[in-house]
Amino acid sequence: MKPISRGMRRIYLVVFTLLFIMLVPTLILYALGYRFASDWSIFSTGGIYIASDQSGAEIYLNNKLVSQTSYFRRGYFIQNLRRGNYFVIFAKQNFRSWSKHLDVLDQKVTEAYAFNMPNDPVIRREIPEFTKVSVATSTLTRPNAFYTDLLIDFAERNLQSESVLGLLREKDRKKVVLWQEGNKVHARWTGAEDAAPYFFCNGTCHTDVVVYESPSPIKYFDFFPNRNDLILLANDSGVYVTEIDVRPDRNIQPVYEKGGVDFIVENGNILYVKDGSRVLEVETAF
Amino acid sequence: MEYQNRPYFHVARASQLTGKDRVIYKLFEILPGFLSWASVILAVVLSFFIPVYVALFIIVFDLFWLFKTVYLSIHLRHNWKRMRYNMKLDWSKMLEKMRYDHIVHLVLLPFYSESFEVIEQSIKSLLSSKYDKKKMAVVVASEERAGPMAAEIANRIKEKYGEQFGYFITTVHPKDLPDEAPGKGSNISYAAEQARIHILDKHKIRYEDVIVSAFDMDTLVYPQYFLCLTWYFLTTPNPYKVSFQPVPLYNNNIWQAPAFSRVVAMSSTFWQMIQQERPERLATFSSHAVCFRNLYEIGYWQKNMVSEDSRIFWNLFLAHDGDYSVVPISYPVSMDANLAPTFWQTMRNVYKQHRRWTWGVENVPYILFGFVKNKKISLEKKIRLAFVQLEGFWSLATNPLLIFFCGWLPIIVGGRAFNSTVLSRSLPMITRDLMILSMCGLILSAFVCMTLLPPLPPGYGRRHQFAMILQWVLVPISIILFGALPGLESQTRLMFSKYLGFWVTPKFRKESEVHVG
Repeated sequence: MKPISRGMRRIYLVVFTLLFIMLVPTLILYALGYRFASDWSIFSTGGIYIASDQSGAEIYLNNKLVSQTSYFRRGYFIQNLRRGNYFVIFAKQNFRSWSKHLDVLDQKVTEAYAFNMPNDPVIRREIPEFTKVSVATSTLTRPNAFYTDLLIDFAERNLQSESVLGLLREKDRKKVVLWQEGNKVHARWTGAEDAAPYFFCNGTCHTDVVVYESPSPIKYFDFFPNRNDLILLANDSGVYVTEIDVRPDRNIQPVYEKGGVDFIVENGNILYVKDGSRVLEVETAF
Repeated sequence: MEYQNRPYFHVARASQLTGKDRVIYKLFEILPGFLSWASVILAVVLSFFIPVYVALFIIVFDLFWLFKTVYLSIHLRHNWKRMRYNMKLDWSKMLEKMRYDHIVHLVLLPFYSESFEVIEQSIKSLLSSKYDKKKMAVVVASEERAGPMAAEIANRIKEKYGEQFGYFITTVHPKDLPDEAPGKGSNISYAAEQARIHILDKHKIRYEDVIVSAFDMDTLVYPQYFLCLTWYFLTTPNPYKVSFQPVPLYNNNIWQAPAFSRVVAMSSTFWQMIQQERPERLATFSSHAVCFRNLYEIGYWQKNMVSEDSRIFWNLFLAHDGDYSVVPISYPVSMDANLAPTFWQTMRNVYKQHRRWTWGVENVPYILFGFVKNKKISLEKKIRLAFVQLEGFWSLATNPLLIFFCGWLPIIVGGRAFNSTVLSRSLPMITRDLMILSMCGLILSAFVCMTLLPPLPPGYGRRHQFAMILQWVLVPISIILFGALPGLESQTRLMFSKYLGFWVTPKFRKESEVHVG
């Protein structure tokens, strides 16, 4: 039995080379976002990418279900979209829905990062005011140092003078700076103008935006834990989360809806809500 | 044949030349590494500045890789069928109508630190072969630098088995001979010359009638190897213009070796099987055979370099002015897969072994230099072979890195403008899908592997067979760790004249008896 003849190998080589040459332009056009229409004409498409932290959520495009997120795939890329405006809903049972109108451009991907707060706040734990300590044969009740520290943090913030408050009222994370003017919270992008993140852009990019104008005085604001595109704010009605994203419609969802409450974010990633004398650690990662 | 008389015929490195020759040779030493590093660095740097073009290049390259995989799989499948056919054939019947009692097989068995048991296995496999042992000459070649124990082992082997062969000698290769580098090449060259004096000339055996099989000490032959080789020798139009290449299997201890070692070993076998279907690209590798006359005319294997198994082919090719080739006999010999007492030692040994194999890149400057100097070889042949060699070493060192790393690099460093394009989203999806399709070839690999395995040893069951199939998921990692990285290291060493010495692969078997075929 002989090796494959040189002639046969040449035939294989020629066939594969021709196939390769034919497929290359098709693959390149596909990768760039071009698609074939039913009449074999080529048209350009774009896409929408919705990032999220949720599994088991549903994604709707113009009110039609397109996908569900899973444990291994929490975001979703919707492709093959012709240029235009699309309405996206990101919904999960027992959670608030997030929605947005997004423009799709040729060969471009429009990004958004959905967020969904639960219908009812999830309390990780209540920080006890007192702790029990065993000493010999008896049990003593002592003030909980951590609770006391948190109260001090709340109090210090509120006791500061106006001029210092002006300083305190500025927060920054990853080149996004938040500050307050009256009942408005503003956001500014301090990085290179051409590197402004998508949530500062709606057609054109802005480095200064008004994030939210509250109907009642804003007691406090800060970045949402581990995000630089969401802000938490406390007013007379409760604690809310809203997005910096300038594209319509701006989403705002309650985190802890009750009058007279306040909040603080420790270490940039833990949310504590003060409800009267109670201090609660509220879940923000789902 | 005058090329072998030139002073640079056995050159091993640029520093052995002078003047313009040295410069040219050094440039050729730099070339393979330069091409590889330039490709990798360019891909990385351009990902920062023109990520769109790099992304498109990677997509096209992955498509090319898919087609190449399919194309090579066709070759693999064909050689697999041919090898199985050859293994089933009764070669004595094929030789029935031919006269071959004048053919003597000279088997060179060089060793350094192998144990008596390992050597004994090789001798036993020679005895099991279906060729007249009285027409076989065996040389057990030890090294003086290995100490007196090595010579003692060789003599014990001779005492126990020598009488069963027509001719049997042992040699002790002296250490520290001038112009020699320690290694297999210098040992077997010495052994071949001793065989010429003490066997061929002594018994008036014609050099043209002697086929030399240059084995490793762990090489075990299948029963009809010498009959098959004889048939090819007698039926080749001009056996003095060819070398003969069997297919190297690594079956001696395949069931005991860890998964990584098995995958790497079988991948090497598959590559050789593919090359057997492309004989115009084939050079000799590892255990091979060649007529003694050919060897004698060019002074045997080079003694001053590491990759003597492939270099001998290029020596002969240049000496014959390009009129020399390899006949793939599509019949296996079996050797050891890399196995050490611990897993990490095995991994280290596999890496070192592959670094030594990829050190075959030291042939590239020799070949290109020879092409410059030998005006009798046609330009078409020179260009074709130069391209085959350079492309081969370049793709070995760079393709796995380009495919598995540059598929996502533009996304990481391409910047926001690139990341807002459809292309940045398409890139990982398309490359993933193309690679999955390419990996489908692993199914063929797993199937071929299962058919080439030796029987299950006692105490090994279905779990081990299943592992033999599952192991192929390690290919993406092994192709980088034991292909690209040692390849890149070898080429880099050559660029900077950090020449590799010979490294003896330690032989470790968990079982005393090995059966092949």
